[in-house]
Amino acid sequence: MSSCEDRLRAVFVVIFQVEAEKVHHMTMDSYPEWDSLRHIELVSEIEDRFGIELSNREVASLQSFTALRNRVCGESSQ
Amino acid sequence: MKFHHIGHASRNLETSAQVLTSLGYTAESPIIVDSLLEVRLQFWVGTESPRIELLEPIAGAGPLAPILRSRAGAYHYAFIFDSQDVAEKWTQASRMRPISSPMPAVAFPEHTVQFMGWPDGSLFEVIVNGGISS
Repeated sequence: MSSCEDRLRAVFVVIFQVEAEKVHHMTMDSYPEWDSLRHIELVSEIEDRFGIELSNREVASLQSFTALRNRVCGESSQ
Repeated sequence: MKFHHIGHASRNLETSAQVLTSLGYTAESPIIVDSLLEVRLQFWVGTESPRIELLEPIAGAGPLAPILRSRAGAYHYAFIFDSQDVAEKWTQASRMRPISSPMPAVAFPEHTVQFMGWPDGSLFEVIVNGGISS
């Protein structure tokens, strides 16, 4: 069974068409293709796959793989 | 809620206008300079065709510029709502997320505009009659 982090990484791979090894360090600031519309596509896919609901405030603040991992998988996943 | 227009990103408004003219479209408005969105824009209408808003970035800057770096063409769908409350309920039910805050609509006196993102990553423009609620 894949871990929560693996499942989240898989979402990034699908949305951004990147190699899984590159996902860990991705942030909105460092990855130009991660614009505001792609961000909404990403969080919507995460909500669907993980059965969670993120507030608009959370969506605005969760701007890195690490931040999303901590929110979706919990701080203990670090 | 009522359909209003399709937004078409253009690198040269006059060139795009020539294409619309050849398709039977006519200008519905003068060219409007929207300094808030940093665009020149113009509305076009055709018989039994949807209204199109041509938008060209001013000096290659503003929120439209990065969209045009990908490609020109249709990039947003605009609907008009009777009130902010109705718009918020509908966009929330449709799982839309705000890209911008509501701002005065330069092209529509007494209206506001707000850009939202759809879950599929496309762009939606909310035009609200009545201005910004305090």
